[in-house]
Amino acid sequence: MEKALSGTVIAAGSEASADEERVWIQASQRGEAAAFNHLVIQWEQAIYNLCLRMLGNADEAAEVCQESFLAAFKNIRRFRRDARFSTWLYRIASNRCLTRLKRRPREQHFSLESESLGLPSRDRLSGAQHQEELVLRRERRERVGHALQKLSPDQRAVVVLKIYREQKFEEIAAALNAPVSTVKSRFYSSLEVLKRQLGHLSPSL
Amino acid sequence: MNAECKKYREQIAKGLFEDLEPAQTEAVEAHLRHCSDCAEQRILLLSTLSELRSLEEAPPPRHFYVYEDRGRSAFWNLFRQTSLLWRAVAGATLAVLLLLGGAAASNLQMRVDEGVVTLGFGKLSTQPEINPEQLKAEVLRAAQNQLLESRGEWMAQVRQEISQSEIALTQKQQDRLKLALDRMEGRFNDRIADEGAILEAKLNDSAVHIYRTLSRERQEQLALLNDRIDLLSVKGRIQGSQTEALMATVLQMADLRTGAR
Repeated sequence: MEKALSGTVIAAGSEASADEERVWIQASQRGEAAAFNHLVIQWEQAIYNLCLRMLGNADEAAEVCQESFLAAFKNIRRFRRDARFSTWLYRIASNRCLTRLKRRPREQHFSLESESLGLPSRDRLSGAQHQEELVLRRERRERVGHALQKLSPDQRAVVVLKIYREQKFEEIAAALNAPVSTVKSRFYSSLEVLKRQLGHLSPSL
Repeated sequence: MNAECKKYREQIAKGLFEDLEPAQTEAVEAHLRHCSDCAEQRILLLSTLSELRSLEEAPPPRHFYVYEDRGRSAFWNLFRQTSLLWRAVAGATLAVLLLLGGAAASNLQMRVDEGVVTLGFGKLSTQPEINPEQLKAEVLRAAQNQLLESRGEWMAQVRQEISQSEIALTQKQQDRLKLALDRMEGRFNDRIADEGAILEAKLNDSAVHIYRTLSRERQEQLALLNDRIDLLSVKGRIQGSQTEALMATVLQMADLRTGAR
């Protein structure tokens, strides 16, 4: 196991109970990096994908994801245990993403291309049906990527937290330090923009 | 799109996210049952959400572990692990020790002079010595001159009024009056001089006595202050060398207390 961990072996991908998470948080607040890395294992996929959907670039998403976890570990003592840890992490990550986006020139390419996503190897397997499915997936990712690019950074943050992280409006408002009414307004106006890009009257629906 | 549709169009998305009151939800559903345009909009929204949600989660390219800073001393780690209250106590103790040590190292001097506290580094410059006798003599001389001047003005005024008087006086009477006024003026001057001498004699001893008493007390106080500062300086040097051990003890006590909870 990596040098960051000592003692207990972490089983990647397994869900932690609320009690386990609380124990790790308490140990992290005492400065134990190994305990915090248990939390990293639990939440790194969610945080990485949050960053990826907001930034549209895998390298940048990885960078911001690492920064977010480092910031979380440094400030873990400020975390109030009556709040949800996931909401607190999303707050840190989304604010870092927003800072990056607002510094970025608007012309910078926003892409959710499969190559930058680093999809599982099954996508690279051959076979006519799989090839067709790959093409369809790639086209869908491009459509969604272009549609998300039409949104402002603030709108994108709300959409990503609501659609992909399934946060409540109140939690999103807390994470982005904005009023709930503002968050709802941004979300519903974003849906109208996305509807014009992605909406279709498919018989499958 | 009519006004009714416009109203419900805004609520269709809210209904999909359970952001409506039950009564509002029923009203929207009822409208969608007989309005094909709005029903179509709902389908477009649903397809949009479906497209968005079809985006797969990407696995992270690596783990995002954090590492402990092994360069930090055990003392610092212990410090970080204690509660805020104990860290504040430790910080305040360190600040006081540093202040005392700094004051001792910089040879801070303090002097109290007539209620005014003067601080400085190294030897403070002394104020010039005041000669009390000379000062007293000058004050008495000034008072005497002022008295002479005011008496002189009074005598001049008296003479003037007499000369302007309508009473007809013979030459002999005028001479006698002038002589009387001269004698009166002379007696005034002698009296002022005598009173000045008496006052000077009385003040002489008391002023010097007071000055000497104050001077002696001030020197005693300064000596006492210097002794205390020297003592603090020595203590500060000793305690400065034991600072980390003291801080470590305080923090370990805090750790034991927090661990005991």
